[in-house]
Amino acid sequence: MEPDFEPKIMGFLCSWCSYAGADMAGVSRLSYPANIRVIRVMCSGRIDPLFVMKAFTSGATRARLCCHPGDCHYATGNYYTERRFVMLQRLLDYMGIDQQRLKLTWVSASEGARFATIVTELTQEIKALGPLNLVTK
Amino acid sequence: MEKSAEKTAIIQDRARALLTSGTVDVFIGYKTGSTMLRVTPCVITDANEVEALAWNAMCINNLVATLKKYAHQRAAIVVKGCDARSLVELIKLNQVQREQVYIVGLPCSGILDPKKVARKRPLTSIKAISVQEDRIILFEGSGILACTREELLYDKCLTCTHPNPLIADELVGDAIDEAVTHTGDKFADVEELEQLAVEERRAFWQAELSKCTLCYACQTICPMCFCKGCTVTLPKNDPQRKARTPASVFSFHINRAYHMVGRCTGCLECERVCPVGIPLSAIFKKVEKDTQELFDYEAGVSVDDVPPLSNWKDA
Ligand code: SF4
Ligand code: SF4
Ligand code: SF4
Ligand code: FES
Repeated sequence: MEPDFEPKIMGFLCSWCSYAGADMAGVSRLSYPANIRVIRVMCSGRIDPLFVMKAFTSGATRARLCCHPGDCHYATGNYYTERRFVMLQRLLDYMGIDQQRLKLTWVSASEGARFATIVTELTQEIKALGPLNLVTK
Repeated sequence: MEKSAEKTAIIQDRARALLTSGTVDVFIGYKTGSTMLRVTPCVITDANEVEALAWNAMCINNLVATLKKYAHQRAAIVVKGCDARSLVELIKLNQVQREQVYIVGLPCSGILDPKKVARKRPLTSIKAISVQEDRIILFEGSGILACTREELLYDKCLTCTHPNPLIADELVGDAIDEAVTHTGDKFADVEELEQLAVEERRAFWQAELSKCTLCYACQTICPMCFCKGCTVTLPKNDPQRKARTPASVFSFHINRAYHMVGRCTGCLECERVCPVGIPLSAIFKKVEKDTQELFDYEAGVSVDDVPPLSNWKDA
């Protein structure tokens, strides 16, 4: 582990819940690590695994957040997400990209505190894992 | 040998009849080249040319990949058990209309891997091959050589679960018992990799994928890669493609593997054509294994199945 290692975490946040949750965290003046870079998507179902690989190959370690099961604004988007997610996570791990580097979490619009906690935990986890080293070399 | 000669004759007759009656515009089969071991696809539009068609135990090409070139014509096509699964999948995904193709199915007891044959005898010396349930006989000018199935067949043919085409308008030859072709454990190598620590797997793939030239032959040959604008391949002049950084190579392979979830039927044409010998089967068998474990889904067995990622219900 490198002491100065500041990971970059890409967060793909669903506009209706987790993005609103992040907003709530801000409005409530909660502090969380600045390691997360947020991309807002209209629904977690919009997250193409291509985005994930793009993030990894541009030097990130990432997270993905969306509405709670049953709460998706478009009814079923996050159920599709979940299926894609497990598949992709297993595949990445098999190719040597630790499965802990990809996370799917549910955050609702009112859960600002939960958002802050998740980002804090993620950052610690990734610091422990160290850099991905896919970009250099 | 009589058997493949017999089947060749049936295929030729069928092609003649289908082309003469105008039932189809093209007939897609195999032909032999300079020796019987050099088999290539053969596309015929004229009933007078059917003599070119052949069938033998070297017919490895999955002809289904050829079909996209004849999308707007009625085509007849020769398929083995594994090839038929690609066809099922393409019909399911609306890439091929069932009524547009006439399917000549060949129950298949295994195809010889030229690399394995070459370890036994020079390819040019072999005059005929007989694939039997428990052994394979190579006929040379003077003598014969009996080998085991493991010694000569493609690895995939030792774990083949569908030797008989699941979709066909007619079958040429008798059905094969799955017990003959399904003798090994298909996922043994995948499981071995799964046992390793993640860093070891990373080292393994990094070493293998460092050979990849991003020539995209694997993607080009794949019968299931039918997208007009492929989103995982890079254009010729892209600096990332020229540089072949680990990032661009890993993302190509992971993205393509992900695109194959529920689609790939394990024909392993990709691995066969890879000029640098990357074990792509280990990637696509992993996709197949996970798809089965997570979604209880097997690609290419029934046109009525709903693709696993287009479906979120558990049942
Ligand atoms: S995988 Fe099965 S059907 Fe395909 S060539 Fe091998 S034995 Fe024949
Ligand atoms: S990815 Fe390989 S094994 Fe799968 S369908 Fe395509 S060519 Fe066949
Ligand atoms: S055929 Fe082999 S070398 Fe070419 S892109 Fe595919 S894996 Fe890489
Ligand atoms: S709208 Fe939030 S996951 Fe679909």
